[in-house]
Amino acid sequence: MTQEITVVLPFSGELFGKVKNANLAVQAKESDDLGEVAAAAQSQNKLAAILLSTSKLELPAGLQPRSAPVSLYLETAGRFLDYAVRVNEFAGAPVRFYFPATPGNAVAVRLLSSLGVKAGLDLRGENTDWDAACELLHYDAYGKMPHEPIEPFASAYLQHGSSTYCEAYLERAGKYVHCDEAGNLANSRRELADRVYIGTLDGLSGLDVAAQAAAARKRELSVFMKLEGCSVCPGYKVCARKNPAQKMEACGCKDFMTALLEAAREVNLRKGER
Amino acid sequence: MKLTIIFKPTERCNSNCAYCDVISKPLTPDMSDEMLELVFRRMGEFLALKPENKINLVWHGGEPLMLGPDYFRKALEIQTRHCGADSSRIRHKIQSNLTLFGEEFVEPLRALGVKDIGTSFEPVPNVRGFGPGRDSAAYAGKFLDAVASLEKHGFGWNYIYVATKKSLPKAAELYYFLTNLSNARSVMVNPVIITGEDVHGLAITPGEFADFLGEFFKLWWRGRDKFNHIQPFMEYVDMYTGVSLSRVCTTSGNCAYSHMYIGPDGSASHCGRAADCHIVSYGNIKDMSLNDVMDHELRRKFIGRDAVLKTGECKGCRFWEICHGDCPLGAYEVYGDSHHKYEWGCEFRKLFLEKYFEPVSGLRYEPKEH
Repeated sequence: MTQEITVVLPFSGELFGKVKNANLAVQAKESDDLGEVAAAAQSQNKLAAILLSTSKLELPAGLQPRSAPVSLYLETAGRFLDYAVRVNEFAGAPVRFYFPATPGNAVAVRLLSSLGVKAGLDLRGENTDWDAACELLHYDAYGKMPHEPIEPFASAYLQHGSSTYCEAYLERAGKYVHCDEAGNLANSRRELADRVYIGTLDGLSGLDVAAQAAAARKRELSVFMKLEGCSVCPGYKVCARKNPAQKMEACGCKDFMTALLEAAREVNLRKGER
Repeated sequence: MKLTIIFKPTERCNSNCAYCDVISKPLTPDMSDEMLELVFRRMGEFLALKPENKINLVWHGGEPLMLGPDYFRKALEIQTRHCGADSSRIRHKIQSNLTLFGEEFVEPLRALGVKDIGTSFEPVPNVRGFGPGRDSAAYAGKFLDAVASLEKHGFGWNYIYVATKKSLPKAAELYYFLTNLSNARSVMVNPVIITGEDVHGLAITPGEFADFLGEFFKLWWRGRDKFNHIQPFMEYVDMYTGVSLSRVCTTSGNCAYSHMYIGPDGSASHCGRAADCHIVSYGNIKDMSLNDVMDHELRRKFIGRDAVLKTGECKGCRFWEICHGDCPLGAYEVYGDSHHKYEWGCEFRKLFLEKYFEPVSGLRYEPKEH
């Protein structure tokens, strides 16, 4: 391993035993696990983040006040009336709520962020509604209403929109590796599911991260074989096909990525003016 | 003072670009070891004679990587022997199509101090490519592999896009392609120069190039902070805002003081264009020092060009400081005499600046002298 990398792995004592002095982002199984995750991960490693898929918009039962940042993935926010009374708790917690990009969820994210809650859209789904994402982006970048920064837009703004937005989901070859229950490693969650492995957790210390990043760059460059599709997209600089779920050309992301690049530019210009 | 030597140790090339005649014309054999030795001996003499000077040695071709990695190692060994401590005043640059670049070139190029590689690329099919069928897909594959390798090893890269007739209908696509492709610090867009018959119908007019570049400019100006530097746009912005005056050899008006060409057999000329078109010969470095080449009486004609044009063909032109009558070799090709403006460049520049650059940017050039 030639540079600092974060391993995104399931909560498992067996897996934790295989790594030492590593940065870990742990996928908890249950809301109650969070305290246990923190204790186990921090005994020999550094806990960088906790991820949890859940079905209800609420704070995890095991959440510690000084916890590592927690990303909660939900399918839907549900009815506002059902969680309205808990919004104040959400606002102060080290938790960000992520939802698939649907029109309803985009409205929920807008609402939550305006109430001081950290929220975002997960743009990695195959059914991502890019128009809904675009509308939310306009609210975030150009809206007058004070609100919490929304992900993954905030990540995209960080470097003037230079393909950083997927870091909000801990996806970036060379910076994060994803590990399954069996200890296989892949460059992204999608490649892990597709069994495109780059090594195993046992061999983590020997993993050539720079070579992985170079291989990823080579795959990225393959779009430039032709003068069409992603290679000529006005939004390519912010996208760079870093989203592991994104399909080339046909997914309708062009307008969104173009708007995201423009928004990154605008937001940074405004920062510069201040 | 910086002397730029366009250094062509080989005329061989592995590509068959439609606008280049290098693979079809009789070639001078590659530079011999003895001649390579002489080149560095001459450079050593020049640097000893001119302690304030530096040399940019631009490896050109043909395709310089066809010489293989050992050739570059040999060059470094010879340079160390002949130039000693003065080697620190030599900067090696290389212009390559990259399709032969591999791991084996990393160490020798790095040892020569090469940090950036200049290249060029063409996404429009069958303009650049290998073999008689001009296989552009194979070419693109090799090129992109090389880019990944360059970046992995920390080399920078800049590239030139050569606009041809086939580029014209695809200006917006090409703009995004070129700016998306690279982490390159700059992209330079040049018009194709056809020497001889235009067998593939690639030549473009000054108006066509101005319109093509104008489309690029409209896209670039609005988002210029998020896209790469594009030349000549940055150059014009610098000139218009008073940051600097023209620097590119074709428009600087200074090339007679700064450029020379050395070919595989030691022949010396003014620059790559002068040598390729066989229009200026200063002799051979077998018989003369680099200082003799720079002091050659034929250069006086180039040196006197500014004064002639300023009071003649270019008198009153508000773009004089930006253009200087454009490339003297271009004028030489047309008139057999460099004391004319290069009409093609002049017409293009005026059209582009007046029709696109000034209206889109809101800037207006007011000459400081003339």
